[in-house]
Order: sequence, then C-alpha cells, then structure tokens
Amino acid sequence: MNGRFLPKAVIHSFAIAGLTLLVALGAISWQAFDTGNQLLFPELAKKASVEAEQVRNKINFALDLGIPPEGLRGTDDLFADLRQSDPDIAFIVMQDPGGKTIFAHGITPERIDGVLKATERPSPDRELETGQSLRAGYLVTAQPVEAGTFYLAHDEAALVRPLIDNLFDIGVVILVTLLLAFEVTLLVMTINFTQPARAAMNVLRTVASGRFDKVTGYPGSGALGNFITHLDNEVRKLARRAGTRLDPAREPTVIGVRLLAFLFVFAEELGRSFLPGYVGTYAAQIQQIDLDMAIGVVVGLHMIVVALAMPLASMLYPRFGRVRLYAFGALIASAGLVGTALAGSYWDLLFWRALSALGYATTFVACQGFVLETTNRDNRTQGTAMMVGGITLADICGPAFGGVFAERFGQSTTFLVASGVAVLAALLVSRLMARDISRPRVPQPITLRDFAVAFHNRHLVQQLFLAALPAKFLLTGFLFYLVPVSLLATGRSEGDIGRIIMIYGLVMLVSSPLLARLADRLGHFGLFVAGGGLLSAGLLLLYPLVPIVHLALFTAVAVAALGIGQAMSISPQVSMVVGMSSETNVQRGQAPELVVMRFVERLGGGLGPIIAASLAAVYGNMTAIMLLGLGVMACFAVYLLTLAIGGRTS
Amino acid sequence: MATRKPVNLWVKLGITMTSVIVIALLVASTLNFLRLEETYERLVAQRLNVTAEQISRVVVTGLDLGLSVRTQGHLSSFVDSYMEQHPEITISVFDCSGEAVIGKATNADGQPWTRHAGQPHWRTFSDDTIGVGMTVENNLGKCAAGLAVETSARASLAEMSAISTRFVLTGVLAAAAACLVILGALFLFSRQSALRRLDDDLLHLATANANGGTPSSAPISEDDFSDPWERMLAQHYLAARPNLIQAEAEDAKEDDR
Amino acid sequence: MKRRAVIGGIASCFALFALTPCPLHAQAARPRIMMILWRGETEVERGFRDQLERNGVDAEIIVRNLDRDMDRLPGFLDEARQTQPDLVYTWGTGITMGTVGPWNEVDPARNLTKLPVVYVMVSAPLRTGIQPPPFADTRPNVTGVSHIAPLASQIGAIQAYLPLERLGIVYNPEETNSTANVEELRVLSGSMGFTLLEAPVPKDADGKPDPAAIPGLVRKLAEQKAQVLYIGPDNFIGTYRDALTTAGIANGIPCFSATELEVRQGEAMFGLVSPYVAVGRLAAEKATRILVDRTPPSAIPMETLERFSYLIRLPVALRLKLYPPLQIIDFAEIIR
Repeated sequence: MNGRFLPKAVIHSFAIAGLTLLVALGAISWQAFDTGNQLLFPELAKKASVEAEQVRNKINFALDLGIPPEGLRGTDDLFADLRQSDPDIAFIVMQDPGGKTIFAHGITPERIDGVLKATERPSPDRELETGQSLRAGYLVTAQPVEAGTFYLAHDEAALVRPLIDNLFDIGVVILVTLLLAFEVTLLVMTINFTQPARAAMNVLRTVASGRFDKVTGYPGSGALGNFITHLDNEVRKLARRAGTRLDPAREPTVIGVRLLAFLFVFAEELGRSFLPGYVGTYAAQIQQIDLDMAIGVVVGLHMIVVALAMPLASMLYPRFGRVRLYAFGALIASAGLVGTALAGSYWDLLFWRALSALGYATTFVACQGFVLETTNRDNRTQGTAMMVGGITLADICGPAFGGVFAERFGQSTTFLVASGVAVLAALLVSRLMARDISRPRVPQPITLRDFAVAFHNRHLVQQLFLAALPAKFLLTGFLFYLVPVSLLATGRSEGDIGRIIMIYGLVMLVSSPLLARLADRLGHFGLFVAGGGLLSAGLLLLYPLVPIVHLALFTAVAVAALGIGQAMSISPQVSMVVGMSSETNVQRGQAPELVVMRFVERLGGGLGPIIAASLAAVYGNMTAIMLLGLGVMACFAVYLLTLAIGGRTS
Repeated sequence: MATRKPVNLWVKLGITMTSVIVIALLVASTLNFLRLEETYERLVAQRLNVTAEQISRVVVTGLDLGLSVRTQGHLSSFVDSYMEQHPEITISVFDCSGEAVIGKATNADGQPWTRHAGQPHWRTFSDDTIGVGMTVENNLGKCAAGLAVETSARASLAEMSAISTRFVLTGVLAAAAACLVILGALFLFSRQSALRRLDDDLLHLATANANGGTPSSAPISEDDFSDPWERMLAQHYLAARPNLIQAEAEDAKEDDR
Repeated sequence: MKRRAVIGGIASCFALFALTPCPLHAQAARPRIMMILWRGETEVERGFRDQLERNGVDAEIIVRNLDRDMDRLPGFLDEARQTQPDLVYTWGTGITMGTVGPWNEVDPARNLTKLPVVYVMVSAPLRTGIQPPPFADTRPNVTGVSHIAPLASQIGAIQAYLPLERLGIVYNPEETNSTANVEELRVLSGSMGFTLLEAPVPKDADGKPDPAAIPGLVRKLAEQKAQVLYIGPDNFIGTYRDALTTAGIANGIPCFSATELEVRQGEAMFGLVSPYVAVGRLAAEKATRILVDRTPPSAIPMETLERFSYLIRLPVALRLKLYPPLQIIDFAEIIR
C-alpha cells in the first residue's frame, strides 16, 4: 500500500486554487495592459512626434541646400540610426505631393499604400499630436516637408511588448509559488492525514487479525481525527481487558525531508543562472589567471568540495546527529552565501563558495541519514525518492526564480536572499525532522576498500568513464557554465537564462518516471544509457552554425534534449550498476560500486566547468560547446561499442 | 488528558493555499507595476534624448567656430525658441565647472551640475521631473559644455503612485476573492467527509451494549466511499468490525458478571 | 634693402638686449614667445593668441616673418639664441625643419636644442623626421600640432560620402612628400578595399612638372572610371589646384582635400580638415603647459586634433549631382 496520492478533495481544492489564481492573474494582467496603454500611449505619441520633427528638419535642410528629392541619400543609414536609439520604430516613408514614394525603409513598397491609406482607427481617449493617426496597427506620424510628406511609423504593439515579456517573469514566479504550495500541502496532508490514516489502517488490520495490541498514537481533529481518537479509545478499552501492552502504530515522518532537501538545494540553485557572470566581474580584476578559467574554477570548485566534504560530514554524523548536523550545515551554507554576496575579491569569493559547498555537503549527508534512520528496507526507496524529489523541484525552481529576482534586484541581493532561505531551513529543521530514532544508523562514508572493489570491477570502470562521467561533464560543463556564459555574451538577461536552465529540471521531472518505466519494461538498459547519452549531446554539435539571433531558442531546445537524454540514462544506469555489484553486497543494502560511482560522478562533475572553461578560453564559446558535445558523443560511441562487444546491451 | 486541540486539517490547508494566492498575486502586481514604470521612464528619456542631441549639435557647431559656450549667441536664441514650442521642457546648458550658462543652476535632484561632469550620458529623476543629460566635447577632445533636458512629469509621476495603489488594490481584491472561493470550497469539502459515517458506526458499536444489542450487519458498505483513501479505511474497518463486535460482546459479558 | 635689414636686425638685437630682463626676475616677468612665420599671421595665429588669452597667459609675442624667404631663418635663430625666449613657435615643415632638424640628426650649431619649440602646420611630422618614430625617445625640446587628419580617417571620410572603389591621384613624382603620400595610399588601398589609380605628372622640356598635362591626366583617370581625385600635400598640385579641380568637374569627378583652403577657396568638393583656428588653439594649449606648468616638451605629445571638420562645397556637389548623405549633412560644414 503506498501513500503517494492525496485525497480527492485536496486535489480538487488544489485545482480550484489554481483556477482561481489564473482568473485573478488574468484580471490583474488585463488591468496592467489597459493602464499601460492609457499611461504609455501619450508618451509614445509625443516621442514619435519629436522624432518625426527632427527628421523633417533634416530633410528640409537638405532640400533647402538644393538637393532634389530623388537625391536624398543615406536614408537607410538614417533609418538604422533611428532604430538604434528607438527600437519601437517600424518604418519610414517619404512621398511627393502626388503620392509617389521617394524612399521607404522598413516596409515593402507594395504595402505602403495599404498602410498609409488604411482607415484611421478612432481614438477618443488617446491623445494624439498633430499629424498622427492610428492605422493598420501602427502609429503613423506625418510631417509635411518641402517636397512632399514624411511618414514615421511606430509599432502599436511596442507598448505592450514589455508587459508581455513581463508575463514570462510572472509565469515563473507563479510556477515556483505553486510548486512550493504543492510541497507544503503535501507535507501538511501527509502529517495530518496520510500518516494517521495509515496508522489507523494498521490498527484495524491487527484488530481484524484478532489482536488488540496497537493504537495509532495520533491526536486527532476533524473527521479523521475523531475517528482515530474513538478507535484508540475503543482499542484501549478492549486491550485493558486482555491485559495486552499497547504499541503505537505511528511511523516516523519522513516527508519532511522533501522540504528540507528542497530548501538547501533551492538556496544554492538561486544563483545558478548568473553565477558565471557574477564570478566574471571578480575574475576580471585579477591578471594571473585567464578569465574563462577563473570562472570555470569557481563554478567547478563547489562540486569538488561537496564531493570531498561528504565523507567528512558522514564521519561527524554519529557525534552530532541529523538535526544538529543539518542546522550546522545550513548555517555554514548561509554564511557562505552572504560571503558570496559581499565578497571583496576573487580569492574571497573562492573561499566563500568553498564554505557554501561545505554547508551543502553537510546538509545533504544529514538528509541522507534522516532517510536511513527513519525507513526500513521496504520503504527506503520511497524515502530516497522523497529526498530526490525535493532536490529536483529545487533544481527547477531555483534557477528560474533566481534569474527573475536578480534581473530586478541585483545579483548580490539574490545571494543574500539565498542565505536567508538557508537560515530558514536551519530554523525549520527541528519541526520537519522527526526526532524519533527507531533505528540509529549512520550513512557510511566511502572507504578505500570501496574504491578497490569498484575499480576491480571492469564493467563498472567502463560504465564510469565512458558513460557516467561524460554525462556529468556535459551537465556541469554545458548547463552550468557554457549556457549562462554564452547567453550572457549575447545580451540575454538573467531571467531568460534562468528559464532556460529551468527547462532541464522540468523535462527531467516529467520524463524521468515515464522513461524509467519504459526502460524497466523493455530491458536493454545499456541501449537506453547509450541512446540517452547520444541524444543529450547531439544538438551541441550544431552550435557553431546557429545564428546569434536564434541562440536562446536553440539553447532551450538543446537543454530539453539534454534533459530527456539524461532522464533516459539515469534509472537504467543505476539498475546496471546494481547488477554489476555482487549479490551479497546488494543483500546487505550496500553497493560499493554505486557509492563509488556517485562519488566519482560528483568529483568529476566539478571538473566539467573547468574543462568547458579551458575549451572556451582557447576556442570561444560556440566551438567549445561543439567540442564538448563531440567528446561526449565519442565516449558514448565507444561505450556502445564495448557493450556490443561484450554482448551486454540488455 | 488536557492537550491543546490540534488545528483542523482543513484550516491548515486553507492557510497554505490562501497564503500562496496572496503572495503570488502581490508579486505579480508588483512586477507589473515595476515594468510599467520602467517603460514609462524609457519612453520619456528617449524623447528627451532627441532634443538633447539636437542641442548638442548646435553647441558643437559653435565650438568648431571657436565660440565658447558662453559666447554662443545663436545657442540661447535656439534654446529659447525651442522651449517656447515645447513649454513642458526645460533646457539647461552649463560649462565644465558646473556653472549654468543657460537655464537652471541645479539639476532636477537639486544637485549642482558638477555632479555629472565628465559623464557622457545620464538620467535624473525627482518627484516632478525626469531629465537626461550629456557632455559635449570640443575638437580637442576635452569637455566643453554639459547640457540637460528636463521635462516636468509631475502629473504623470503623480499618476504613477495612483497606479501603484490601484494595482495593489486590485491585487488585494483579487486575492481576497480567490481566497474566499478557496475557503468556501475547503469548507464544503470538509463537511462532506464520509468518514463521519465510520465514526458514527464505531461509536454506536462502542456504546451498543449499554443500549442493548448491536446490528451485526454493517449499515455501511465500502461502495459508499468515493475517495480512495476513505474507501481503504472503510475496507479495513469493515474487516475489523466483526472482531470489534465480538470483543465488545465478551467485554460486556465480563462486566455483567 | 639688405643693409636696412641688417641695421634693423642689429637694432632690434640691441633693443632686445636692453629689454632682456635679469635672470633673477625671469620667472615673475611676462613669458616671451618668438613666432617664426612663413607669410605673416594666419588664422592659426589668431586661434593661438585667442586661446592663450583664454587660458590667462599674458605672453609677449615677438613675430618674425620670413616672407617666404628661407634665407632669413638662420638670423632669426641666432636672435633666439641670444634673447632666449621662453618658447619658439614655428610655422610649417620648412621652418620647423630648419629650426630643430630631424630627430636623429640634430646639428647643435644650426638647430635649437635647448629652447622649447612648438610647431604648427607640419603636415607629415613622422615622415619628414621631425617626429621620432614610436620606438625612439621623444624629443627633449620639440612638440607641436599637425593639421592633417590620419590618412585612414580621410579615406573613411570619402567612404562615408560614397562607396569608394577607385581613387585617382595626380601628383608630382619629384616631391618626396608627394611620393611618400602615394606610397601610404597604396598600402591603405589594400586594407580599405579600393583601387588606387596613379597619374604622375610628366616633366616638360625644362625638366619641371608640366601643368598643361593636368587635364589630359584627369581625362585618362576618368576613362579608368576614377570616382574621386585625391589632393595630397603636393606643392605643385597646390599651386595648380584650380586646373585640377576644373578638369575634374569637367569629367564629373570630385576632388577631396585634406587641407582647408582647397575646399573653402578652391573648387574641391569635400575634405576632412583641421580648421586653422583649432590648430592654433591646440598649439596654445601646449604652449600653456610649457609656460605655466613648466612641463618639458618631451612630455607633451606631438598630435593632431581629436575631431576634424568635414567640409562640403555645395555648388560643386550640386553641379556634379553627387549629393551628400543626410547623416553627413548633419555635422558637415556646408560651404555655399
């Protein structure tokens, strides 16, 4: 019996909440558009009038000099200059008194009459200047010149474009808020409904088998609560007669790990979309290291420190216990984030990032221990899945929200907010982390023996170096370094970059379960891993051909492909590695192969940005992406070959 | 045992959902307003820049003729006629030490012009003006003059604060309406809980012996419950029910004894 | 006449001796500037004097006019050595070269090596050797202003007016500054994407360049489809510039000049020039630094103006029907 779904009533109310939110947003947006038009339109009209006046003066001056109208040259440069200072301009046209076009830019000759002679749209409450009219979707400003008339047209939609752009930002914020709400609702429901209900069913089962030795142990309110209280009272009464001892059926609450994992990962992920840019401003001040390398080092350092610090944190676990360890880790991470926000120099920044990573590793280990200690072998996967779910959610929400926030309030401020989130996590841990220790367990740190066992396993070594590590390089080198850096170089804002990075998390979230089930059904794990690897890197090869204007769109598609490809490989890869380890280990619940693979993946992940940065330093961003994709595809091709040779495709 | 009555589940849910709605709508309103304000300022600044470029060209022509900003008579007449045509605009020209040659002695923020000395372009805002400015260089590459074009935007800026209030108000109203809908829905849902029937039956069982006899067949069946959770609870309850009745009967017999 | 000049020279020397202030009072007295000019005061000097006044420098300016006779120069230089002015101002390549010599072959006997010298109107200081090359040290006592825009800027100015593919040049191959100029244009033609059509002026029976050949050369350039004729720092062409411009107009080809007078007073259609006044001003700025701030000339760069004037002679443009683009009309000085 799994408790993964929510009661129908809650799902219904969530749907209602979502709908009402959308309706309310619609109302707010409508008001914004309407107000926007009312407020901004007169300004647009005034601006158009002044610009047209200026051009008219230029044209008249030239005509006064004796230049004939056909001799007016450089009007295309004029148009380009106008558009540079005012991108809202659509076209310019000059016609002689007879209506013949002398010059036209930004509009094809066939359309000119269609627009200029189109019926004027009345604008009772819009303030137009003399000579202005609204036609065919344009604000046309007409200025008489000595040899005819000059027309300057602005796109009417130019006013609403910023507001439409805003909708993307609002969408991200709403998505994040809804996801967070879902998380909290899940938490509330689990603690207040699902778990008590399961306990009640547990008690009822023992009663059905004729025993009266379990009570739920939950206080109750509401319909379920009353039922539980009465059930407990009844069982207690009947047990007293039989003289049996009563055990509570209460399970430790693991669900809190979702929010806890979410919080500390969210704090780190807030900066994901603009960290390379942020580091760049510091790295530009030091001369010793090449700029790209300096950035790559900071981005990669975090992952390396996390990989190395996790065993250390595991060693501290028995001394401090999970609650204190988590709080400690969250506070260290918070301090690291404050330092990142206020760092004075590149070397300071390096230190604070390392400190952040230390905190991250510590909280991670604390959560792992929490799951270990509160689950038994039956539901351990579920508990781990909860933790992974919280992390995935943070991977989705963090970059997008951080990007939107940084765009408005600055990058340093975003780091400060991240540190606040970490502090919040520290404050909440005592409420979210159940204190009961049914089975004191310690997350085992990795040992040298694990390495020995793992590296003796030829298949594991192949898997690690031909599939797992290249996939990690691709993720950290491309998504965490090259994507923000290349998009920033083409002038994209933090909000846009954050949304694109979010695509990866979303795609992973949606496709992982589907693809995992598909892989389980079809078998052929090896093919899935190889296929996923090739898919994730394939589009990267096309990067040097992509025109700058479409770079953001192409990157979004490439990131989606990355997500799908990696979703294809993750679950089959785990199954393959478990299959590679010896039966005894698996029985005991430990697989050194898996542990070593995770460690090496994490460590190697730290190298990804450094590799990407060195490629970018020598070849430039686009070629670096292509080379990275090429390298990863080559690794996976070789991997496929080894599988085929070994006959291990399934 | 007197313990604090735990908060009703539906109340907790209600708090969660209403907080989310309120936060989301307030954030959306704020983002909309900020974007509106930014677009407005950009439009005004673009318009003022056109004027600033025009005046800058006049100044440069004079400088190339060897006239310092102070001695450019044609400049002041140009500026005066321009301001006559566009009464809402104020034009100020000042020399590189910050002293005004034409127009006001301080910028819209009340700061002296020296504050902007050397900056190629800048913008200023105050409660009632928006301004742009630029530095003009002579053909020796050195600062020759600065000029600033400001427009009184008091009406629009006042309208801005009215707009922000309106947006917040709409956000609050929308949030309130949405919250009411949610809370209403939650209230209805909480009333519908079919678990009440299980509870009633259990209580009936528990006190049946005191009231003389229990019906052995359950007045409820699992098909009465549509929600999967409630159905599962009902299944378990119905499975345990016979033992409860039996235990109750034995308990009663002992008491009787 | 020569006797009068000599007596006049000696008399002025005595006067200068008498008026020479005591070394002790040198700093407190008015700074003295000796101007050595080619043909009397020009707009350059007007700008120089004006800017000095604006900078608050109350200098005594002693004007020595060569009246186009280079033989007078050594006398003025001797005068300078004796009267020790605070600054010497030289006009043009010839006078400057005679005063300070090339950077690597200074003759202490003939040239001034200690007195600070500010030159104006030297068209090619680097090529003629007045300005040391970039790898060498700056000259200890020489700085100045040249009035010709960098050649790449000039070509850029032509390209702003019309898409340049073929540039024609009529020049006197006997003048080194001319051939050097052509050589520079040849180099630029590769990188800036135009073809240089050269038309050296042949010699006549006396071995001098033949002005009558000019119209024929222009016609040949027209057959080769030259779009613009370039007027370089060529003295011969400068003298016969009207012949060149007339022939150009007759064939529908405009002339471009890097000096003011060809466009203002001649019939060249357009040019990128330094207004003489601005040259004088910049020289005055340098003079101020030397006289007031006591900066040594070696620390003051030899340079041109930051911004040049784009001149367009409108009647020629209208006649040739080569209309300037709107953006150029914005900032160009239109001469009607």
